[in-house]
Amino acid sequence: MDNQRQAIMQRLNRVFQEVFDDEELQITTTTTAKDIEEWDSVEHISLVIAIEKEFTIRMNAAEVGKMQNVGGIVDWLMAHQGG
Amino acid sequence: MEFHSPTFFIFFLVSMVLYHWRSGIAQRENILLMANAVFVGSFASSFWSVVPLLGFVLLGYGFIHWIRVVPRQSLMLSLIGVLVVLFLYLKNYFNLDGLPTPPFAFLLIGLSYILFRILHLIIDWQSGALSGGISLRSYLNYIFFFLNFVSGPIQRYQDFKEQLHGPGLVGITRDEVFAALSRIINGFFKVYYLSVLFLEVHQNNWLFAQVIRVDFLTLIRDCSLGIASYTIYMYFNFSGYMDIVLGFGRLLGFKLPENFNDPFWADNFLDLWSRWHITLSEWFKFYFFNPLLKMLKLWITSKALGPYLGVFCFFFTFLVLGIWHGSGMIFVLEGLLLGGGASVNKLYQLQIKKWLHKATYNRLKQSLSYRYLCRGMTFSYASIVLICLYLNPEQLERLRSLGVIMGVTFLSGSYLVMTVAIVLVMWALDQVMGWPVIRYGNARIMQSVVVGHLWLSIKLVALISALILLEHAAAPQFIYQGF
Repeated sequence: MDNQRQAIMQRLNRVFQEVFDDEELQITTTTTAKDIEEWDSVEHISLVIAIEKEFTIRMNAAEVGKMQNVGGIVDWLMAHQGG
Repeated sequence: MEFHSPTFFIFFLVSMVLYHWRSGIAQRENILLMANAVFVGSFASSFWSVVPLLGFVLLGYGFIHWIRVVPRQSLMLSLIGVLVVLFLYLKNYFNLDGLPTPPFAFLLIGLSYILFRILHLIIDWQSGALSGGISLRSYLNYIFFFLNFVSGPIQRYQDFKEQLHGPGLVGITRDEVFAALSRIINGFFKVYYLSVLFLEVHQNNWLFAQVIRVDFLTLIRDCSLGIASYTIYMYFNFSGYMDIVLGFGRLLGFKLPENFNDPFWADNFLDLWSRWHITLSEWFKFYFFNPLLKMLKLWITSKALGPYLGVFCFFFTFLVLGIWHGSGMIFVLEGLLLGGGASVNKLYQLQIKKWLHKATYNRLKQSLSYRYLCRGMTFSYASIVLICLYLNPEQLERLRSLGVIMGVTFLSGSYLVMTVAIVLVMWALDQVMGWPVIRYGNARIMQSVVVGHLWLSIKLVALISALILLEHAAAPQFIYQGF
């Protein structure tokens, strides 16, 4: 379980770096939009699209809206990827 | 049945006692259903007057079951289309003489919020965010929940169901009851005192109530006072009503979502809408803005254009939000002003980051004077947009005439005066709150139970006085009941 979580975090980190165009960016489970200046309502959708593409998964409207922090995203990915 | 009426207090007391007395979920649902029926029925002049509303709600129930069985996106969009057109027809948005209408007056109160709840159910069931079934009883309880039926807050079904099937009386402690009652008293104090005070200022200064030609400076002064005081009146009226609803909700065992979060401290127009009528903004964000932007970004993949797609989506979302407020060109104007404000705000944020270095922009955003200026401009622009909510056609014509005579400088002048006034007020407040004696005193007051009780008692006495004085006068209306 920890290995899977770690693997997801690594992939998610790459997604964040790509979306926000910052190779130095390092996310943690507590990272929220307040920690990343470019993470606003518009870039939130870019992030959703990138996550869906990376993990070949689809989020519904409620899940897109409620995505608040990285920890929540990881938990959701683990739950929807059979983790 | 108005929230401030003795009838409502008796109704609520009986409902609350019965609701908490029965511990079974089915029994509580039945009691809630009866309470909802009594409350909604109190607005009806006859049985037939609720038929269109009931029909709309039952049609929604049928659509929900259909989408559960056939969860196709194309079907979902068709069902949403039908409901929206029916909503527009019932609210007379089309305003066409040839259209057949029921030959009797019918109830429309709460229809806007009912539409949002039904659409949320359809969309969430189609996407899998909701699963399992929903009984007609649970559906009717959610749609007609008497506490948020008239003017929200808009609560998601998932949260409502969790609280309906939650601990009930077990979760209510003495402290929570006191907090709930405090909130109710606070709400009535805002509605009966503070909002009435600012409404009076507005009515005494709103130039368009008089047909008198005055000098330019007097026009600016009256316009600024009239416009600004209406915004503050609306805030106290609406947020006070929300305090009452949330307070009663807590007594019933429901934690309804907040609808206000210090909106006058918003740093920009977009920030304002995350603090004013929060549940409405969230609904539009979840079910309109996000899906629209996502669809456009999947279609137009250019990264350079991405932010500008956001600008377009903000404009379109706020345009629709403005039109939602009512039928007629004045609400289209409101939508255009809201959309314009939101999109210009976003464009500014995009451009300023290109013009200034990131560190410089961050320093600017932290600067107090910049923040005061932004808050002043936000308040003033929002206040001007709100004019659309209270201008009648005669006043609109006068405004147009004044615009022709005086040019638009009087509105621009009012905007400037309001902005400067807000900057000065915010600066003064920060100065006063920063004095050591105030900081120390404030901290002691916030911790003091005695002072808290004393202040609550003062508000209760003031409220009872107002109720006695208003016995033979018209009680202030809850303004959002009209939307």
